[in-house]
Amino acid sequence: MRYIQRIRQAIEDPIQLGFWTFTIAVAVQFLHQLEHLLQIVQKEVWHWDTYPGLLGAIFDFEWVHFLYNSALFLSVLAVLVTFLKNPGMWRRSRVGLFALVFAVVFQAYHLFEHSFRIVQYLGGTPKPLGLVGQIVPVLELHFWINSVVIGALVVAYYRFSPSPYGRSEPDGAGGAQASRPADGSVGA
Amino acid sequence: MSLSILGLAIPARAVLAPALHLGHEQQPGLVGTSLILGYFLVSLLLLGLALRVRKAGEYQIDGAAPPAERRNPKGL
Repeated sequence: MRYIQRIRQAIEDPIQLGFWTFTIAVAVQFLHQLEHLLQIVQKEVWHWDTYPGLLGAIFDFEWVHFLYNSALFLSVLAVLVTFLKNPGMWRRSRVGLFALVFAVVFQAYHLFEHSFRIVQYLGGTPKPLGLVGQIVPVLELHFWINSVVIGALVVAYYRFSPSPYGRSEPDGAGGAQASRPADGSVGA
Repeated sequence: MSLSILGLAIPARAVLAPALHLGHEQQPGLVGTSLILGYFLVSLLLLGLALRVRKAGEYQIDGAAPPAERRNPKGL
């Protein structure tokens, strides 16, 4: 019962909703990027014939890749929407906003690549390369795409400091500090 | 929650597998498919909530007074 109430509060409070959406997106993308890093190590350092990462047997399927990248795009878009609808809820940072918008746009491109791959896959290509993957090695291409996405997300996360806890501390970087409503009310 | 997603994933995969050409490669595992499907649905839900939740005007930036105080600085 207490947990349900806490979840309801988190859903109705933009600061908590933004914090959890952002934190989950960054954490999941960080783990995803570790898989891509391990694939590069398997190829370049260990010289394996195949590069399944750690969890390739579970996740390395075209539809799973497509669904994951759609989910990440929706998550990051949700973070941006929450912030734009509630300006002042986090520290003010132009760099953070630029990094977040860049992450949304770049992830949209990444999703386009995977959509292209799905079309190729449905057309009968078992291991589709996507659009740019026809020119650049596909393993390295997606490693770098994911590196850019996680890099932009980490910059935005650091600059915004979206934690709902300890918000009364002064912001040493000179940015704005959001204050919670005095009456503790929640918006619709 | 995860059980219900798993419960949905089993028949969904059986129906969708031929249409989505899942047989081209090794069959995706139920665990991986369920986890990613769950993450996708959660993301969709979070975007819906983000579009709905709003507390405009209640957050102060740079220590500025909230709109009500600015309109009535002496509390009259």
